[in-house]
Amino acid sequence: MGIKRGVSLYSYQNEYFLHLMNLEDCIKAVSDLGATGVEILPEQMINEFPRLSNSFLDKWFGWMEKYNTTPTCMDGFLDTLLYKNRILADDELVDLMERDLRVASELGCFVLRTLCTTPVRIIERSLPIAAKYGVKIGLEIHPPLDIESSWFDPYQDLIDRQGHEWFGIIPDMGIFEKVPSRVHQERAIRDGANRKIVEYITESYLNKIPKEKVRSEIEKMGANSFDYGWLERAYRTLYTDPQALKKHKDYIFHIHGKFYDMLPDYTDDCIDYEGVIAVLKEIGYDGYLSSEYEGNRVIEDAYPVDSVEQVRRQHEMFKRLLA
Amino acid sequence: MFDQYLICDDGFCNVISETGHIEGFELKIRIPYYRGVALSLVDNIVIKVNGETFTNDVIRFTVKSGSYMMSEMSTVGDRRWDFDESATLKVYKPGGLLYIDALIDLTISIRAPYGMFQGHCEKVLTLDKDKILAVKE
Repeated sequence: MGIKRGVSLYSYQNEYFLHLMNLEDCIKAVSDLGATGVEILPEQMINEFPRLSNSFLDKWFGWMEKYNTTPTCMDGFLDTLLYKNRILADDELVDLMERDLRVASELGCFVLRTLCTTPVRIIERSLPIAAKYGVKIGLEIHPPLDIESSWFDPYQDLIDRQGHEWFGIIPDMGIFEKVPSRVHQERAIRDGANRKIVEYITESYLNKIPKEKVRSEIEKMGANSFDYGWLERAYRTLYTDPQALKKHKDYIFHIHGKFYDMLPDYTDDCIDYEGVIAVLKEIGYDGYLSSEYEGNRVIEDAYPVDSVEQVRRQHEMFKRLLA
Repeated sequence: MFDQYLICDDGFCNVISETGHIEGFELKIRIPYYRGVALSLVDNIVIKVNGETFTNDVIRFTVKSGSYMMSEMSTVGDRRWDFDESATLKVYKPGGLLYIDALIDLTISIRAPYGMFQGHCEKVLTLDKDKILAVKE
């Protein structure tokens, strides 16, 4: 079967926000790539959320048929901080989880992405609900959280105790960042950081110079708050060894193909797609690689965003690496 | 995010009450986040107009799903501000604004489960002329 290509419609959020593309346009854009998987944030593009009408769902499945696409993942946000004066009680959070699992099932999605802010006890209580709706719960593994760290232990424990039929992971490719993202670095400079200092920081990070040493160096260079901001961002760069995916291979439900900038020659010099896709092939992953263009947020202050072209370039890379 | 788009170009005007008084002014804004949210997650809004500051207690927030004073919003968990929707802010200021061009400075925060999304936008807007004539009367 092999690895399938998809797109999270999150990738097209700038065009959607500016009313340049509507939901159907976004689905068509996925189809135009020869990709099949459609991932969606209902809270972004479906204003009826959380009560979807039959007439909307008829349109939704009509588009899927027309464009030869299929729903994959629904990205949920468990709003633990819905009210300003308190954190939601567990029963309320389970109710929200049920709401999202129900919507995911109505949309025909096989997996619900949940954020790392979802307490593991809420996920455990939601497993029977996931089974009831036939929708898996996928924990997003997103930087700066490291699947190789103790942060993941409670989730691993849940999988060890309850199995992985309904609970597993959605690695975000942002955890495989080889080189601190260039578009983020340029943004830091546009915001007010000094190019010389920023470049010194990036080089020091790549040369594994301890952060505290770099901090005192840039202090001498007259660093400002944006320079210190870049110091934090650069040293937060997370590069997980792709081999780490191997021991979780049985419950990788979906993959967020996070990227910040695709070059015109269809390469990504920031995220280690070569390394990861080689491992995915080796372990026989046959789910979706779902593009998630996030450079939009970083460049929009200075450049026009062309999400369709960015995603197209990434899919050209996918085709090459998946061949 | 979307900072440059947060203040809409249209919809900036003085507001005349049913009794014919100018009760304040209005402007339209967009959301500084990548999804729509429950109104209770609109955490805080501060508007400065030519340096004069207005806060939650004098701002009414209106979207398709409802209209609330900002000071009431924290309890509104089941009405939503959509991602593609502009919200109208009515700022209560008896007499309204007395100048034509105004430098608007907007700061707005949305409470996401993983932290605050804050947007900031500055823009010069021109008041709707018809409503300025009312000021002069």
